[in-house]
Amino acid sequence: MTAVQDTKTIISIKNLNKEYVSSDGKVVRALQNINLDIHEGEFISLIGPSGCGKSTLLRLIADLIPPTNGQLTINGHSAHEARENREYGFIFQSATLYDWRTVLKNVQLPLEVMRYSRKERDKRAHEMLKLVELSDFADHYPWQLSGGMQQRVSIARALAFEPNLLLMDEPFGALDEMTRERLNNELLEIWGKIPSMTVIFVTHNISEAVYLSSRVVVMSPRPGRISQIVDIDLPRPRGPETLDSDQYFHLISQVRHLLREVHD
Amino acid sequence: MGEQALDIATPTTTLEMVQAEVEASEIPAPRPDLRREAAGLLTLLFLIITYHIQHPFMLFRVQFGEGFRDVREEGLQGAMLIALLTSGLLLIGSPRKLWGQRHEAFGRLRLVIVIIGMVLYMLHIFLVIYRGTNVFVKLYDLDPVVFADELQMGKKEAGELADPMKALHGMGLLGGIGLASAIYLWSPWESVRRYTKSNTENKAMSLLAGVIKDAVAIAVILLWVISYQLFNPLWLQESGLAPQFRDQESLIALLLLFAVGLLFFAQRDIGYTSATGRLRIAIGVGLAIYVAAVLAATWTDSNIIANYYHVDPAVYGNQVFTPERIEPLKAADWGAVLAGIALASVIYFWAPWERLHLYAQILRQNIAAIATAVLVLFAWEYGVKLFEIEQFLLPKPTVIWETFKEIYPNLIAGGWFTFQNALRGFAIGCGVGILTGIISARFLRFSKAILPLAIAANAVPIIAFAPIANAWFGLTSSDSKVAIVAVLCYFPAMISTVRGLTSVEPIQIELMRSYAASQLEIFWHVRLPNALPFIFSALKLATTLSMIGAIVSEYFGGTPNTSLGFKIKNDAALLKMTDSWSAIIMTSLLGIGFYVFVSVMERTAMPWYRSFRSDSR
Repeated sequence: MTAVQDTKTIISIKNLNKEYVSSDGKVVRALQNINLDIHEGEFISLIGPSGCGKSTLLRLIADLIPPTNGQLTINGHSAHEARENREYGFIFQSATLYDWRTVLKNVQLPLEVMRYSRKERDKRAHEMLKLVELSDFADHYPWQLSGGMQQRVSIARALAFEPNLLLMDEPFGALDEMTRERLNNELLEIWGKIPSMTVIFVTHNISEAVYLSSRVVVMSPRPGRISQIVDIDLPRPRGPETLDSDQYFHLISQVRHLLREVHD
Repeated sequence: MGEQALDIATPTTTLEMVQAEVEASEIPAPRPDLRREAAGLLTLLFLIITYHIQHPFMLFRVQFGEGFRDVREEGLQGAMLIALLTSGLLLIGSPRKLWGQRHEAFGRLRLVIVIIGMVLYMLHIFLVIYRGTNVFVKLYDLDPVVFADELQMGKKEAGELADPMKALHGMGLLGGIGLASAIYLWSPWESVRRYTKSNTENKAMSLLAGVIKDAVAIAVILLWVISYQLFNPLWLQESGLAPQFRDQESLIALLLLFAVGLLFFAQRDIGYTSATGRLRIAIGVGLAIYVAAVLAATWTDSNIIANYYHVDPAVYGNQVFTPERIEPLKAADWGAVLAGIALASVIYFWAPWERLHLYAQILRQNIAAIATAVLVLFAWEYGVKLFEIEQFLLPKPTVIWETFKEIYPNLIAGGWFTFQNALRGFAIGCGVGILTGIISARFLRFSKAILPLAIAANAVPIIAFAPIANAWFGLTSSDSKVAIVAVLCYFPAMISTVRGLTSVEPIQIELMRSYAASQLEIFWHVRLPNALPFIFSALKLATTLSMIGAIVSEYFGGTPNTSLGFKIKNDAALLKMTDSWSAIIMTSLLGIGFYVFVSVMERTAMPWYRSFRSDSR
């Protein structure tokens, strides 16, 4: 894997704030004074209890909600420009596939919006399905697939237009443990295959965060803020031997302690 | 960068796990194909109707020709043509799909059958209805109108000719089906492939076998032509090849039998186990029936078809045959043959036997409903007798049926007129409703402006509106009825469109926004497909509303013979109860047909929708 230290910063967040005004006039500070630099090729996890703002932060980066104030640059320009340029792929908690489209057509959806030619769309969609090993299901409908398979289709869809940045909001949260482990490994494999891909991964699963990431950002609620950033210096590529190592358990405990502090 | 391959899950293992997953999940069971059945039945119905209309002899009173002759000017023929075309298309799937199947063995067969059987016939019908040109009549330099007039002026003759004509048609149809069967069994396109492909794998023996099969098939076709001309009641006279073979009828028949047998057994896959094998057996049986008819005609001197219509072939020849009539009759005959081929094509495409066991199953499942319906009819029939209910209050079903059979041409004419009103009102009302729904969903201010008006329109009882509409547009005009139906259909269409367009999950909108999609793209890719189920359920509701609206609006003004609603009211007032009930039955049939049609459209447009899948209920 590319070493983290000698690559450029692609996301720079300085003093970012997000506030909501609730119906009874109270101000809710979803995020307060967020400062974070994310480098190219990193795998960052955002972890924290409910209400800590991790999903909000992800959506701010994706320009799906506007910040209240602060600075947020992606690849040197604003988040809005990054969205207009389609520089990231977003993967939601539920697969969000369209029932009326086959698996292949679902993967082609962003390519249709981005006006790729028909030949190009077909080629890329088939490549992506091969990547997530679902080529045999190209003409199936989403409801014929299991939950894990649907998420893989949504991963294929997010990668179809080859973004360099992948934003994932608890993508495996609704799946069972075995499927989740398998998909974690597949995700690492895909991330490994695509050079200079950065992933920002929101989760509430500590072991998942430690297993996947280069750095774990621990967040705390009320107001939402970054509590601590833990460097995960486990060797790559990661596999079953990682799951048995002492370093892995040590890091998990470290993160757990931090979360407990934060929670109290 | 020198990474090791991950040794967690090799592709084969993952694929195996995935395959196991799929097997565990529910796989949809084969379903009865209602679209296909509807298309098959509709196409058959329109084949019959158009055949009776296009036939030069059917210009006078024979079967459906009579019923539809009066309404021809109303554009019924146009409607029927459109219906024939659409049902034909539905039957064969989309043309593009058909072309895409040309690489499969049966794909090419379907293409050929489409071209020969159905397209030619539909072209023929199109020319008859819109150009007044019957190609066969033209082929023999005839003028059908003059010809029909000649026959009609001698009305007595016309009556005498009815049965012989039917015999002629029967012969032509049977002959056409026989011809189509022979061509199908021959499958000459495979031969073409065999001869044009320079395939080194083709051993001399298999090539020889192919040549023999082609020779036998060509012999069958030739013998078909000869035996047809010998056996057809009309060709008893000197025409075509008949004179040369007049004395060798038995020989021809035997040769035909032998050749058909050879051709049949030269087929691969005759077994009962596969669908293809069963089809071939069925077609072989059909062909055998034709040959049996020919044999019977030559050996026992009895023409089966002529006998059915109580026509003596010898006398028949004298009755019908005068030198001037040979050409017209040939024309009529060819028309019948073509229709026979088209009929065979339709039945082949439709292939209802493939789904018979499924329907038997459904019948068994619904035995309770069917038994109840039958019980109700029985109770009605005998209850009226038992309780001595006056016939003018509640007639018996059997009596109603008798009246229905008598007056159905008028009912069809009236029903068509009423249905046209309902359809036009449906189209306008739902169209405007969907359009305003789309605008309302997008522009909140617009929605706030028109919603009160829409609710008001919905709340007005139609009965209050009808006399006013009649005053505006005229008592017997269609426009007043169309307006009422449109108002009835508007509200459900609009409301459900708005609902459908706005009930999209926020997460799906977020997904599109992450692609920087414009509002229009979000509308087209997400909102509209999401709204389809809502819109269709409103459309189905609107079909019933439109029928109600069309009928009831006629209560206040219409003409006795061309409006079903007026007929119901009028006949009831005149105590012609059976007529009234017959009209009500026709209305129900139209309403059901309309609803089913929209349902079929719904399934076609939304094959993915949950309630159509077998795995959910």
